[in-house]
Amino acid sequence: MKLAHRWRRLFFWALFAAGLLVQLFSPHLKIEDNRFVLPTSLASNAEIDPAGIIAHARRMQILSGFLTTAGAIGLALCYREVLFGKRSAQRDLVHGSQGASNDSRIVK
Amino acid sequence: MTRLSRDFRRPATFIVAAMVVITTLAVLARAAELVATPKSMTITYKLAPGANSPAIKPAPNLPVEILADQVGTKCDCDDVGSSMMTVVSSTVDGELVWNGFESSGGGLTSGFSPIAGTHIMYIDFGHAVDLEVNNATSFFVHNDTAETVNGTVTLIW
Repeated sequence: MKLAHRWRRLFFWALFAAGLLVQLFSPHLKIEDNRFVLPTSLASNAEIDPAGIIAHARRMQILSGFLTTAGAIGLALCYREVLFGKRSAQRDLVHGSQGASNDSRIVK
Repeated sequence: MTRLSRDFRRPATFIVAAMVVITTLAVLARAAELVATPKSMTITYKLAPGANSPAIKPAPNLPVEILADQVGTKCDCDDVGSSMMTVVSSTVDGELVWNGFESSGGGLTSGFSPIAGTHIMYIDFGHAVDLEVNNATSFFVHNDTAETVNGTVTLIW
């Protein structure tokens, strides 16, 4: 595998993981009856700023969604031959059936 | 590469791909839910006698609708009360401005003040628990009863 290709895969895995990390560390606001409910962890603060809390949570969620989606699309492109490639599938069949019986050799 | 690893490589790739897709969809669903939810927040309070809640800061320079509701019992009697008002945290005037209804038929409440402790509106049945000005940008719930009280304050903006 080429070095550039390997780095590209690593980059998209890192992007995907960063999206999940942002998700993990974003404020976990509960939604009940179409309203946000203040978590008890934030209710003990000296001052509660609902507008700020919601704006922060939305920013984090949008960032997380963007990173995760970009990572997933990048990974799909990096692994496209394995996932979608016809040649790749045929190659796997040929190589995979070398030790198998002749009945399973469907490739010319 | 051994034959065993070759045989398992492709199915394993599909399993990992499925996990990535499911995780991505879950993240996107959560983000969409959070963005689509209206800008409103419910804050639950539980206050000992004479205690104040943390200061609650409404969004600045916007009319914020406040629905406050006392729940629970006090003195073996029903203590449910509810009240509604709009409050504006005016950065120009440097004070809170409010208009609304007191709980339990208490009539109108209207005013403006940046001074801590100024009564805004009662939120319980017996008119002993109220919202009070904390400073020019925030207010708090004050319990003036001899019992622990609990309820919710919802802000919509």
